[in-house]
Amino acid sequence: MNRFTRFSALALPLLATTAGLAQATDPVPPAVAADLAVSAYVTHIADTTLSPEQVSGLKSIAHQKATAFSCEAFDIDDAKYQEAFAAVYPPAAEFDVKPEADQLKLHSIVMVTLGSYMGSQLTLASMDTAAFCANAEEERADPAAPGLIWAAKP
Amino acid sequence: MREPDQVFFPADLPGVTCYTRAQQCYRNGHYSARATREVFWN
Repeated sequence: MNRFTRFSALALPLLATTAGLAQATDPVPPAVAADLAVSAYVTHIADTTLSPEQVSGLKSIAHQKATAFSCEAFDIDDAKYQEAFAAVYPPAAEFDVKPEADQLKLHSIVMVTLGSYMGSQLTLASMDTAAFCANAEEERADPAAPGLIWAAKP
Repeated sequence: MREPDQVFFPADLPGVTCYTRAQQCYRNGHYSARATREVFWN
């Protein structure tokens, strides 16, 4: 049980009957709203094909690749990238048991997920590049940050 | 059609906003892989 499921089991019923959770129809920053829209689409297409962990891992990769493309001080460490991608790409055994058409579908869903997130992250970076890159600097400076594929700061 | 999401603010992660349906977290308006992982996957 992760922190969210613990929170859900314990707090959501209480919150729902008292103050209630805020709906995302409340003012949401435009950049967050755009990101959530893409996340909703990706969740829809990945559905039962990819696990939430795989989708989250692909988003993390896309976010960091978009950062490296958009922010001057960032670059990708190819070895770290390959390791991170291998961790979220379905294993060969999962492909082997599928007909060819389903193998192609699985590969396509991975690539569309990655591509969708790449597009959204590049868009967000272009909306406020300085703030986007400053946030990435904070992420890079955090030793507990998971799955970083950026090269060490020059 | 997308259904509305719900937002919450983890008490131990200042500046972080998370969305339950999307299972995404943002720090100061920017996507945070670390916060997302801490809240939803740890």
